[in-house]
Amino acid sequence: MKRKVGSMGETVISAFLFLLAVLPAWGSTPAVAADAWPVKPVELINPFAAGAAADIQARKLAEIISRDLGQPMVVRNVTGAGGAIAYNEVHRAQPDGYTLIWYSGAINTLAARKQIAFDYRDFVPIAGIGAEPVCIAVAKDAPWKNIKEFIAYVKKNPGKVTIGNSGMGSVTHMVPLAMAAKAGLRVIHVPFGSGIAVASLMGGKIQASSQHPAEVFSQVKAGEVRILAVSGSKRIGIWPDVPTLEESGIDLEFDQWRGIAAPKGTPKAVVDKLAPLVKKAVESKEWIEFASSVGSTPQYRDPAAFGAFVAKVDQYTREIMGNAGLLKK
Amino acid sequence: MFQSGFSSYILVALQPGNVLACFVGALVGTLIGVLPGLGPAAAMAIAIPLTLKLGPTAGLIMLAGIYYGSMYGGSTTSILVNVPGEPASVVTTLDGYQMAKKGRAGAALAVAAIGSFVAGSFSVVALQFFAPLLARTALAFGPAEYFVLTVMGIALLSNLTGKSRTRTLILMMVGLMLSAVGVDPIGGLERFSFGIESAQGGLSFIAITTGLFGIAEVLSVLAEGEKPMEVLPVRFRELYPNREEMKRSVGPMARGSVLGFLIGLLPGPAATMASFASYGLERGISKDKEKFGKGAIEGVAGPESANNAAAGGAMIPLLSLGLPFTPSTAVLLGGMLLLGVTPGPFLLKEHPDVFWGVIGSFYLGNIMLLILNLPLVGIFAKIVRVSPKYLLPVILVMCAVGTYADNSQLFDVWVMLGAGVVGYVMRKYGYEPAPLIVGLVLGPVMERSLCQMMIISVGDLGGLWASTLCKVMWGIVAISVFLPLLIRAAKTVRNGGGGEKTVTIGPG
Repeated sequence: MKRKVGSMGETVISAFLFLLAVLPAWGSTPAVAADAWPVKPVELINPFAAGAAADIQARKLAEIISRDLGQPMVVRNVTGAGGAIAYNEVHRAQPDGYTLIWYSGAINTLAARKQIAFDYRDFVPIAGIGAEPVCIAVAKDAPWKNIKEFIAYVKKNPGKVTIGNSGMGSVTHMVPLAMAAKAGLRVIHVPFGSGIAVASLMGGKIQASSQHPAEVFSQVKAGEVRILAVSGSKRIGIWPDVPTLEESGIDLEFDQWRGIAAPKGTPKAVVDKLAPLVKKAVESKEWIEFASSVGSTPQYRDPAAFGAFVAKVDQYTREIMGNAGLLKK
Repeated sequence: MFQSGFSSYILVALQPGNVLACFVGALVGTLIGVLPGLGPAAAMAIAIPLTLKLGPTAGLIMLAGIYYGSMYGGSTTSILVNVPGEPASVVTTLDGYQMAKKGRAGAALAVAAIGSFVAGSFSVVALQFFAPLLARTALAFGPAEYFVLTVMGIALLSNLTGKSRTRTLILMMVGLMLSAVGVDPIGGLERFSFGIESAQGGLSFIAITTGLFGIAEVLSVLAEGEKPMEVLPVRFRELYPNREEMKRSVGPMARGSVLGFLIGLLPGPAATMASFASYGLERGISKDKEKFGKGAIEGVAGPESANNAAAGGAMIPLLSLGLPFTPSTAVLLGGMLLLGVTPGPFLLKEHPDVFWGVIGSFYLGNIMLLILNLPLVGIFAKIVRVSPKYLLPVILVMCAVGTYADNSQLFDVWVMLGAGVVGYVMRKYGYEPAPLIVGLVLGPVMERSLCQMMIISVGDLGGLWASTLCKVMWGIVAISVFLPLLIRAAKTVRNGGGGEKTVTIGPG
């Protein structure tokens, strides 16, 4: 530990006092005019559970942004129904810049499956933060050395190989779906939560699992799990030896993107103030190091570019889902 | 290597800053535990930004303190006012509250604290010595095994309250049905939500528990116009458990510690299940089953040890494999990653100071919690003598705030109030609500694992008894269902058809 003991003691005390103050006040959000935004803490609603890959990134980024924002950016988890509850809440919230969404591919998949009655067009894009691939993981003693061998095996055994994902219609489900469609495979998709899917993989209950890197990288490091391929356009820093699907001859590139958005009608002043702060945070050494360590590739996108990007992914998601018969009319 | 490391790094936990972090974590955890609603996972998530400023060792020590501290506080309100502070203390209401009514609140609180300490210390010793050995236990469980495990849970706990197996099973089924509300975990279809947006995520477990116990308690006191409990003035020494009560608690604490620890290794709501399992076990092996539900100290000592041990057990898959199986350990994992520490077998090699600091803080934290909780017993025990006109509004506010804070949904507060009314009616007609909680806890695991198993086996039910583990568990289910029937039949034959008293215990 680098910190001196004395100063740490003080930090602990102030942290505790802050916690006592924050606990009862949590969740109260009186309406305030947006001219001098922000004059009170800004809530970043995270549709995913505390502790998950998406959550730790939200918390880290919120912490960095808070330093320049003048007010704390507080992450609040609103879980349930694959993220639909969180999106509904933000969609309904006052567009005053105090309620933001930790935006990701969930908006595309939820809308495509009609689990929410609106889509990306009902949100104001603020900034794109980056993307993380989906990786195809197998147990350490699995017989396949690479993704090509795996695909050859699935071809020989149609409808027999099980691939666990983190939930029906999730981005981790899209990748094996699209992979199966492109390579002409028949696989069994098993919807799991994240932790149990990895345990089932290690226990040999399923043959493969499609996961975000952050959910498996400690098992990979421990040699319990091997990664056959990642779904992004480039290899990722933590696994320089793992090829992309495209390198392995499968014409598929599908990342989980992340960013920040606000409900439609949020003043442009909020976007103009926040976007540069996000840019600064995303391009900071601290963020680049942290994001890379959990398998994410930082890439800032300005509001316009981010909006166009989300629209493009929406189109592609619907295409994949349409092919798999998952699109709700 | 394990042991030499321990002796040199235990000092890490004793650095003043870390001791303070441990104390603050344990204290906050106790408060979170005492308050109904808001649980350790939510509290830890709130604390994460603060722990980031403390550095990895102190930060993790503080998070861990909140985690196991909450298991200490949970029993307090269960015993005093029949309102479980945490789901893992639901079963403690059965006998703890009855003890309080008899003027033994102090004894119940003290036994809960001592049991928590014994189990907490046991689990950290087990964690330190057997972690690599036990880490893989959970890997033997796949969807099929989990499904059978939940069936086994229902079969073994079907006699939980000892009153009527039929009533218990009915309530368990109601719990299972309630757990099916919301978007289904596999196909994403909406069920029983009646177009209510917030119901898509299911009915909040916290809201139902708080309502069935807390709000129902408030309602029944109001309805009956109960006076403050007629508690005889006790001398200080009598506040704490007497020799006989301690003697009777030793066995349940030991069994609860081992049982809870083992259940803690598995995914799912381990602490809650462990407390129920321990209660079922204590009642099952007791020679004097009649006293359960009427203030048996075994019914407090066992479950309160078990839930702490489960919290310790759940650390094993997290620390050795990086697999978080409960919402709380998921937040701990998130906290570790944010602090730049990756859990797994190399944790010891890469961050020995963090590893041993946290393990050391477990020992220290448990001692602190015992010291913190025992003197509080005297203060808390007086609460039962407070007039309801002051106590009830406080309970009501605590329940509402805690339930809302858990997921910031006003809908949850409505569910809580609805559950309160239902809970009041249930009490009036002699239905003990604890089995409903069992159903509610097991329901999601049961549903998800059955669906996953069916998907994996492509619709073949044979997968349910494919593995040896499944077969053994089915065997236990069969024994627990048929043995009482056989015993009754045997008795009937011997008595020539006069099975007079067995009617209430028998199934259906």
